Amino acid sequence: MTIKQISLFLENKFGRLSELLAILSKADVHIVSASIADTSDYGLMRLITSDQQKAYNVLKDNGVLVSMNEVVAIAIEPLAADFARVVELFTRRGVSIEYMYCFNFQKKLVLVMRCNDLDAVREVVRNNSLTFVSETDLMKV
Amino acid sequence: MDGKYWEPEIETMPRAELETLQVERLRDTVTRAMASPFYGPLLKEQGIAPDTIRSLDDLRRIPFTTKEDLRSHYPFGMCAVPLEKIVRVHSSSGTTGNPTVVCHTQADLDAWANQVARCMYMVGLRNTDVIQNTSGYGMFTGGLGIQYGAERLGAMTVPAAAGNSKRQIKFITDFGSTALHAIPSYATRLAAVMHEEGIDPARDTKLTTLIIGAEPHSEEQRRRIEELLGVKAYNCFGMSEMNGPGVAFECPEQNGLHIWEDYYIAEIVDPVTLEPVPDGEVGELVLTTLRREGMPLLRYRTRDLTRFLTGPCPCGRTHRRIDRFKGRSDDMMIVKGVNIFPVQIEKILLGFPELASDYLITIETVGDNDEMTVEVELASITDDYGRLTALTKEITRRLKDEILLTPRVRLVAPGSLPKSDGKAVRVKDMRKNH
Repeated sequence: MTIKQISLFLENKFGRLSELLAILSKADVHIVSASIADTSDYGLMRLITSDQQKAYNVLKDNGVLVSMNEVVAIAIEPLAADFARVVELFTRRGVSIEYMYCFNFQKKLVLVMRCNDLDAVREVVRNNSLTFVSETDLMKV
Repeated sequence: MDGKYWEPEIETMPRAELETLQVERLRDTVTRAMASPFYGPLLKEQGIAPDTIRSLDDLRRIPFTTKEDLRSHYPFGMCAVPLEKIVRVHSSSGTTGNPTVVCHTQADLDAWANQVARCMYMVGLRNTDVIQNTSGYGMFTGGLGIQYGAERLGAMTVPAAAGNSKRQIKFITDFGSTALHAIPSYATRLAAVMHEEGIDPARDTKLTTLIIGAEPHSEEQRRRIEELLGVKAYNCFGMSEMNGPGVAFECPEQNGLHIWEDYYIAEIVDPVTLEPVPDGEVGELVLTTLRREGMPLLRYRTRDLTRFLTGPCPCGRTHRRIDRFKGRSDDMMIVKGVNIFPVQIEKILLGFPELASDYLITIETVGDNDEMTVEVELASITDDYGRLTALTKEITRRLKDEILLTPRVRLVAPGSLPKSDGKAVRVKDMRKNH
């Protein structure tokens, strides 16, 4: 029900992003989702690829400051009503969503969420027959 | 009292007489020092006793004292009198490691007030002046030091303390302040705020005199302050180990600072060999107190680099002049008048497991102010953005508590800070004259 997300430290220096992407292309992976949260000094990049372990290793070997953590990935129809339903279910169950973003995957919308209580999330998913995306699914890309 | 000199006999004392006075007072100082836990055993070991002091040359047999000695004898190991005789302590900042403490008896405070009054009188200040002090008070010797000196002079004092420029300006205009004590960067700041408020210092205030000190500054900076505020600005040198402000001061010639040789024996030595340098050459200033009772100091290495300006001074004072300070022989930084050692910053950073061991301190002038930026390499990262922001905030808070200044903190990627020949560069001072 969870997939691995890579977080990396991106300095706000001209050319740094290009350097990083060059390293990633060496890993020959597909980018499923990439986002950068920023301040004036640095950015935190969150990355999901078709092979997270491979991407993580190649980044680490090239001296990039990286970490990997688990995030929830729920697949829904790309409709506002379906989006609202998932968030409503989580809220009612008392699951707090620290951050979220989405990406398109095989005609579905995948909601990526960092949640504090994975057991509660598992319950919501099971009781409501929600569809989730797995590492293996992403590798098939 | 009105004449050129606060203490005419002392200030114009012929050299031979002055040196005889110094030897006498050095003997008294050694006698007093022998009662301190630090100097007692040290002097005995070196075979130094008051009767072995017969000339100024005998000073050289006394070992040097360093800041490290003061730190390792914290708090009262340097004290030469019973503690009930101490009426004030001044302590440097620092929550990591030991600060340095100076203990004063009432006689010490009276002597200090006198030397500051002497400095003020020298540049034309009188009991009709209104002297406003923009230095921090509390443990900062620039606060109480100037305060008591100005009161001894009989002037009206305005103990404004630091900051709040609008309020400072209100005091200046409402109370008719004629003199200010300020660090050079603050003087420029005040001038800028006055300008913003449409106040012309020359026309709208009664300011005639500025006493500037606590941080190195150039002749150009001084002239600029004089122009901006329509005043005469005089350089003041001091350090808490030697009381505070008033150790040396410019006379109206504005060409060198007279160091009071009835209060101190001044030597200038090579910081490496510790031998005296030829007269007029740059070296490290070493000072011996001649009047201090609570905590006499013998051959204290100030780490400040300067030289004697040889030759008589047109003002008639026979106390030698030292030049504008050229820098330090250690790594101490002075920002906004506050003394900071890189090791203080390093110790705070070491307390954060999220950080790697490399950091870089950059000091630069932004507008009228000196700013410090501390860049530090991260050791680990999480996906939690809020954690990084909170980390930056906490580092800033702890640094501020330690160094009394709020630096700008920047998290950087590991391995990204510059190294010179494989050695980490710790401080980059981009200011002019640094």
